[in-house]
Formats: sequence, C-alpha cells, structure tokens
Amino acid sequence: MKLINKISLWFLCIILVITPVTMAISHAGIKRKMIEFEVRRLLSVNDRVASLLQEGRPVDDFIRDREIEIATVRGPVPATNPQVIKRPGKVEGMREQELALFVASYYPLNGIVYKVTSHNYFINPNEFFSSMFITLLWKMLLVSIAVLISARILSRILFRPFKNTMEAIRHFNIRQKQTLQLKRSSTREFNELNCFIETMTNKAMEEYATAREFSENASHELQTPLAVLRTKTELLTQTSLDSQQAGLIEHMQTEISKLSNITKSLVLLARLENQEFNTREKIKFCRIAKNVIETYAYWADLKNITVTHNTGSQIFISIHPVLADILVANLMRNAIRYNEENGLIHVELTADYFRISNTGAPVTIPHKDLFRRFKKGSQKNEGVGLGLAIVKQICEVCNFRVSYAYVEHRHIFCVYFNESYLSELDMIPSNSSFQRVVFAEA
Amino acid sequence: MKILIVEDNSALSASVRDYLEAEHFICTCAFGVDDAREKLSLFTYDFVLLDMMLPDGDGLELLRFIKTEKIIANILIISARDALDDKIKGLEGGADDYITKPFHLPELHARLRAMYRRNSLQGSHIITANEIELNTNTIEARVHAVLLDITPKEFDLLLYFIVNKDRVLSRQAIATHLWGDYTDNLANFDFIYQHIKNLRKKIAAAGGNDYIETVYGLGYRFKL
Repeated sequence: MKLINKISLWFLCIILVITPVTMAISHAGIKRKMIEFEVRRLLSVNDRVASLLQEGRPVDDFIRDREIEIATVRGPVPATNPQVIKRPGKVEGMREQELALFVASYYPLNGIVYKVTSHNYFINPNEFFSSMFITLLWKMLLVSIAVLISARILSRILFRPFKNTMEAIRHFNIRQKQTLQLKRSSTREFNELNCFIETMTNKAMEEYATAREFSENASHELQTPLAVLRTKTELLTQTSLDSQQAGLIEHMQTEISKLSNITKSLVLLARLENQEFNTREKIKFCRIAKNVIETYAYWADLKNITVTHNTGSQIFISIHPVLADILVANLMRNAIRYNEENGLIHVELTADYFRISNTGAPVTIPHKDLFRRFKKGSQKNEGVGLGLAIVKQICEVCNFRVSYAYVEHRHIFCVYFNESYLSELDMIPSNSSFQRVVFAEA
Repeated sequence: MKILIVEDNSALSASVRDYLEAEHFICTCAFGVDDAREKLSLFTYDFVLLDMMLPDGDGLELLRFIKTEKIIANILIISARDALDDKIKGLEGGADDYITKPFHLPELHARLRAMYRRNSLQGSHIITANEIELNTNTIEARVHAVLLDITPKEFDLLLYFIVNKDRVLSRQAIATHLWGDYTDNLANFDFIYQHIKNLRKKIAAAGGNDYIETVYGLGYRFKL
C-alpha cells in the first residue's frame, strides 16, 4: 500500500469517527438551546400576565391571541416554580408530532396564588436530526473526496524528491565509477535521506574499488611466485629423475598451470568489471571467430568431434578484439569439453547473434548457475569454472546478451549483439521444453 | 651471448640464469632500475630481460633509458600483466617481444633465440641439427636436403625442439608455445602426442633419425 494511501485512510477513519460525534454534540446543544430559549420566552409571557394581574389591569387583551391559562390554586406555591412540562403533542392539520412545551408559573398575588400556564408548540428537535444526518453524509463524502484528490496531488509534489532519489538508486551501478549525486529538496527528511544514501554509496564504491584492486593486485602478485615454481620444476625435470619423481613433478606442473589460469581469469574479470577495455571500436568479428574456430577445430578433431560453421562475412561488431577472441575461444572450449566422443559442434554467426551448439549430456546444475564463477556443469575435473563467467562479463561490458538452452540433446549458447533482435525473438512463443536463460546486462 | 636479467625476484632470476647459462648465455642479474641502469651504462649486452614491476621503479622507465641512450640490445619484457595495454606500451617503447609470468623456461629461451635471428646481423636463418635443416625465413624444413611437407605448427614444434635440444619439454610448455593462450584451461594435453607422432612420421619418411624421445611422465626431449 502506498504511503499516501495509508495516510489518507487514517485520515478518513478519523473523519468518520469524529464527524458523527460532533454532530451528536451539536444536535444536543441546539436542542437544549431551543428549549431554554422557549422556556425563557414563555416565562416572560407568564411574568407579563402576572404583572398585569398585580396591577389589576385586564389581561384579556393580552391573552387573546396567546395560549395562556390563568387559574387560582389553593394552598402554597409549589416547590418547583416554574414547572416545565414537555410532551410531544399533535397539532391539528400537522402531520408530524410537534413538541408541546408547557410552562406553569405560580404567583402569590394579594394572598391568592395564581397559576399562569402558557404553552407553545414547536418543531421537535429530533425532526431536524435527519436533515443534520444527511448534511453529515454529504460532509463526509466531500471531505473524503477532497482528501483523496489532494493526497494524490500532494504526493506527486511532496514525494517528487523521494521518487528522484529512488530513480537515482535504481540506476546506480557500483561498478561504474560515477558517484551518486542526489538533488537537494526543501524537505528536511528527504535531504537527510539523500545525504545518508550518498555517504553510503560512496563508501560502498570505495570498498568495492579496494576489493577489486586487491583481487587484481593479488592476482598479479601471485604470478611471480608461480613463475618461480614453474621454472624450478622445469629445472628439476632437466635432472635425472625416476618415474615416480617424474610423475610427482608432472602433477605439480599441472596444478601450477591451473593456478596460473585461475589468477589470469580473475584478473581478466576484474579488468572487465573495471571497464578497462574499449568496446566502441567496430571490428571484423567474423575473421576473429573463424581464426578461433579453426584453432579449436584441431582439438575437436582429436576427440572425433565434427565442427561445422556457418559464419557470415563482413560482420562488424563493437567489441575489443581481444575480448572477441576470448569470447569465442571460451565458448568453443566449452563446446569441446562438454561434448561426447563423435559429437558435433555447429557455429553460426550473423550480424545479430553468435550461436554455438554442441551435443552432450545435460548439465546437472541449474541453468542460471552455469554463468556463475567456479560453477561447473559436471564434476569432471577439467577447467576451473571461470570460462562462462568471463563470457557473461564480456557480454555485459559490450552490451550483448548471452543465453543458454538445452534442446534436443544439444547445448546451445547464443550471444545476441543487439537487443532489438532479442526482443523480436521473445515475441515468438517458444516451445515449453525450450528452457532458455537470458542474462541481462547488469 | 650476454644477457642482463632485470628481475627483482632472486629465485626467478636464478632459475632463468641457470637455464640460460646451460645454453651458453653469459648472464648478469640486476635487481632494480638503478642497478640495471648502471650495468647498462657500463657494459654491452645482446639481450635485456626486463621485468615490468621493479621495487624502485617501472620497467618502462628503464626501456626509455635504453632508447634514449641508444643502447643496442634485444629487449624481452617480462610482466605479470597479460593484457594488452602493457604489451602495446612495451612494444611501442621499443621492446622486441613480451612474455607473461608464469612463463616456461624453454619458451623464454626460444623467444630470445627468435629475437636474435630476427634482429642480429650475425643471426642465421638456417638452423641445423645433424641432417635436419630449418629455414626460419621461408618456414621450410629439410631432412638430408629433402623438403618436408609439414604444417607451420609442426615446423614451429620442430624449431622449438631444436632450439631447446637436450632439454625436457613438458606437454604444457609445448602447447603454450604452439597455441598460446588458447591452451589455458585445457587440462588434457594428449593432443601433443598426436602432433609429435605426425612430426616423427614425416621425419622418418624423409629418412631422418628419430631424435624425439618420450620422457615418461614429463614430456619430450630432442636428443641429438
């Protein structure tokens, strides 16, 4: 629920409770005032009659048009003087019952106690309660509408800085070197929030840069000890060794290579994240792809894998040439590694996509994990599990999309060079067995 | 041939020296920029092996010094960075070649020899090993003066063997030499066997001796 809606709702609840209460209070007040006023008026009429009686002047003139009764009472003046009696009464010709108010005053005059009773009919206050109730409903309706509308308008104005901040955060990328700059607003709370967010993102970026720098430096620093290890084992192989020692050395050499590959891959990933490569230049992608495919065709051939390719010519793509090479090489290597004996690899290159499909057993891990670092499609102890992570990172840097699917016993990796092509492709309803994972740019 | 090894890591420097001295290089080690600058001013070297990251400065600084002082030497850069900007910077700065850590010693040696052949007037383009003769200009291999029908990769392999003769070459070192970074992350180097088998067959067909011997568990050796 939106914050403004919550506030409006609270506000409406308060109005719904308070307004009827105030109506009841005002109704009671009006009713009391009306009766008080009427009682006072009748009393003054009674007093006037009493004064006329006292002066011995005739009262007939005065009481002619008024409903006044004059009577003499035996005995003393009652304790309650004047007496007020209210009772609903029916007046001839009127449909609604009216309220009849009798005010009886006792005056001891010249030894005789006169009881002067005047009465009047007036509208029963309960009658106008209904009209007050309708007014109440109108009032509540209008207030509610006003609250809802003004809330909409106000939220747009008041929450604009907040929305701007949210938008800025949405577009913030820790990998880009741009710091987050938020507009100042006239609302103190939002300014505080903006300051807080700016400090936080700057700190996060600093930390990220440190971590990245560290991983890059660490990887570089590792290369020298690795070089020492490798050269020492090589010098060792020049000495006379028995087969057991030779076997041990070979294992060491394999692991040194693996270590070196991991560090090299991590450096590459770090540099990709650092946006250190110029990907603006258009290069002839088809030529690089062909070169790489031919190189790998040799190894594929050793595994009796048939490589076919359908690569267009004159395909220019905006990518750094080395990244193009790594991208194609990693996918080719993958296609060979996770292939089977006498398998197939088919490579297709158009101006819109680069697709490589190969036969092979399905992967055991979820498809979306394939592109994660150190995740391997099978536990066959080959490779270090960074090849596809690099592919994904290259695609992110170059604004490509990469997808994976396993269809009809084939692994299909596809790199889309332009987004419009991909969105067109999404329009086509795909086969339900066609499990495709598309990785968007970060 | 004289070589100046500019590398701050003494263990690595010692490895290189050990290997190259056995190949009849005369090695001098320098462990920093100042040290190297002094030695370069005083002596002449055929080769300078230059590490990019030195404790008291940058390898590129030394490269500029070599160029401004017009010191004639083949310069091979060693760097922990494998990506391009350093490579381009280094080569534009006047280096002849570039090798990344961790390198294979036979590879380093082969690069030095290749540089020498390319750049030196005394460098011959003909390399011989008994009846085998390689011409690095035309990429032709002859056995008993009979032209071999070999692929460029096989030529490269044969050259690598002959340059590093009597040395054990691991399959990894061979793979890296022939295919460079493409062999990264390849755990299986069995294809080298196939490659060598083909080469042996071709040499044998031309009446050459089989000099390539398998060293169990380690790789191959070209034994004259």
